[in-house]
Amino acid sequence: MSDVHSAQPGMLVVAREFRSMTQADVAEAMMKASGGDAAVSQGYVSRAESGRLAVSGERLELYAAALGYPPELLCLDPQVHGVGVGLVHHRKRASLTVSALRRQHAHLALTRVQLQGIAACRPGLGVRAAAIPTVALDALTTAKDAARQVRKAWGMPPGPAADLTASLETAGVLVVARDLGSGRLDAVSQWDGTQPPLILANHHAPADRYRFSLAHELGHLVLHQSPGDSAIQERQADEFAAEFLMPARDIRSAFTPRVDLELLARLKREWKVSMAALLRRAQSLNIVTDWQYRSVMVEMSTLGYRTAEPVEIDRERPRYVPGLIRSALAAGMSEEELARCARLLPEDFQLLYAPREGATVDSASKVRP
Amino acid sequence: MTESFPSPRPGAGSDPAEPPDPPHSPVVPVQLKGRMLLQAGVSRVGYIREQLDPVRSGLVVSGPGAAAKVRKLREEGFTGPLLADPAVYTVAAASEDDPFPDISKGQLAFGDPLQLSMEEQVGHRAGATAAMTPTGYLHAEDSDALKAAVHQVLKLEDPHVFFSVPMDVGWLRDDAVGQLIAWLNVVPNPKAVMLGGQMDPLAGFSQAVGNLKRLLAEVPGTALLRADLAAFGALAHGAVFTAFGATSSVRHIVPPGQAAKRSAGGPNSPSVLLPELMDFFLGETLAKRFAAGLAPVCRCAACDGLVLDTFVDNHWQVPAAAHNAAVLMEWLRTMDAVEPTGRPAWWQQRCRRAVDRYPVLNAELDHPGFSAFKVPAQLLQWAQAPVASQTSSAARPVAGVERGEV
Repeated sequence: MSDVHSAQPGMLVVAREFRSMTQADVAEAMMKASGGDAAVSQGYVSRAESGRLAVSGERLELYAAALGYPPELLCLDPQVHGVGVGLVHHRKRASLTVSALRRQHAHLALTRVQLQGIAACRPGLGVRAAAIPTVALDALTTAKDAARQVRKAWGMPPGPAADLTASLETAGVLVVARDLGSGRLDAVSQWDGTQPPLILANHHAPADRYRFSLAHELGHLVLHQSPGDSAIQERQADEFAAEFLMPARDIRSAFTPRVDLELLARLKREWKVSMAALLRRAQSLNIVTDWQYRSVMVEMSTLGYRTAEPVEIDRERPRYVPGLIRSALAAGMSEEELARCARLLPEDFQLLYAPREGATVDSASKVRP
Repeated sequence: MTESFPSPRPGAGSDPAEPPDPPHSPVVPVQLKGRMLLQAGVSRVGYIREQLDPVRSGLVVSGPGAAAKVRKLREEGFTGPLLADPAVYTVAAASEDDPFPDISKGQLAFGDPLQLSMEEQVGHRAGATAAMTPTGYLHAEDSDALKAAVHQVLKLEDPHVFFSVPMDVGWLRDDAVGQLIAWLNVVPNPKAVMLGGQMDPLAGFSQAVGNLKRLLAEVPGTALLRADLAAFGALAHGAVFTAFGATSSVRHIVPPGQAAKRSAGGPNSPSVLLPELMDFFLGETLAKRFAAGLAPVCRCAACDGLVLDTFVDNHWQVPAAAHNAAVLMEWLRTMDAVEPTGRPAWWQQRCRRAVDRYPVLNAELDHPGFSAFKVPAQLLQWAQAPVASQTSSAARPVAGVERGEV
């Protein structure tokens, strides 16, 4: 159990990194929160985060105010609450900075704490066991084979994956769509094999890219229970996603001998994947030569499709977590009570979890001291 | 979810530091080793038969009626290596449920297509040197079909049967070839690989030739059939034997259900091998290209001084086929004179010389309206690919022991 009277160093780091604050920022925010009465240095924050001094009492209140969280959150033991436990995977572009990535890892950890807290306050809404098959890869079994095995295990019919988010949630995966603060990060996922797998996906990504990112993260959950060569694991997750969303057996016949933009746009509507992903699939299935692939890619670049593709597809939305909240509210719990369960300040809870028909969450958090 | 499959390579023992045993060497009939056969449909065998080198070549008869034709050839006294390729892959794809599709339209109602095909090829008085499995076309990435075929071949428990692997060339992509190699090494039988795809399959992507060489190096006992220039390249790089297609339709597989894409011009004249460019051209194309210049005079065993712009229409089918076969046999004899370890470099040099010849010939023929010869992408790949020192697994025919008479 956590010590409710003093902060856990690991949680101080997670909370600060999620707020994108430096240690000096925290010190300054603590001084402001005290009305200028307390003198706090960056060195103090550094020592607190390294566990060389205890943060409790009034200092804990100031620390929590500076970070915009209730003090209870900072006192949680990260090891007990699953923060940082399990392998974290992410789908990102190469240019994403390390600090931005660390912030999203913190985001993932805090979301895990919030969902655990909400579920714990409503016994009966408890978290289901995950039905994620795990597949060991070797020379005989590829990521694409694994994708077919998962589709089969989940009883998916041939053809496009109609609602990937729903399939994931049915299998016990917690899917949360959030603003990940950068267009360079598509999704992060975490699974320790015991708690439900959690995927945090960037809802600002185009709907087709969002789906591919979910399938990519599913690939990590199925294939990668241990750390490994990052480049290889990312490639395997991409291969898994391509086969999961566009099974070779089904999509081969969808391509006509001439693969052009018109065909790709039509297939995008049907298969709900990007035109670029479809073209790559045509290449890997040897439906187009490398030369034809490059020609169409050049055409797409010229038309600006590499940054903004035509053809909008319906955006998938998670239903399980909003359903949990609605159910708790319907049972008589107030948003303030749920915020406490989630170890969030009420305004953060309102922003992140309060049900709003048809609305999307625009920011991971607006609470900043 | 995990599945249990045979190990791709038998383990060496209990010491994990010990490297695994190399894949076993399949049993390959000695009559086939190191040879480059010619492959033809039933109706075209007669065009090329006279040109076959009795020591270094043989025949693969392909398509419907192949087994009957093989039997007839034996009855006529053909003593060289002979294979009957049922070419099921041209009309049906392999699947997880049916890797050896029955294309008999109900005529094989009382038997397993695999067993019946074996019986037809090498049964009593059948005449084929070895049997080939009637495998359906293996689409790119269809590992379920490949696995099903592997398991059925294992059930045959006959190490002499060639496991036919008529596969989309997409299997040679970097992300697929490792799995292909692993599954082929599960099978102790020799393999007969054939490549599928429109036009020139190996020209479709840059890793194709390199990964074909990798396949040959890592899967012992592999032959390459229904091939074009790759028949020489593969033989140089360790294929146990190869087969060069006598006509364009048997130099690759057009995936079942697809119409064959053709070069502009249409098949109004035969396909003619222009030796200096190491490529095939329609006879009428050669006539146009050489209209304002001197066409090469061919001194091959079939032409004996014929000019290569002669084959202008389909009346020249037989002489053109004989020319092609005769030139290929000349190349084969030249390669056979090279020690196996030196053949990769020899083949690369030969391809480089042909590549270098293109601009020279184009300059010689340059005139208004002249459409230049273009270096085929596959030829470039053979010319440019790095050549490692080669220890060929293809045994060289030994005089007096392995020679057959054709």
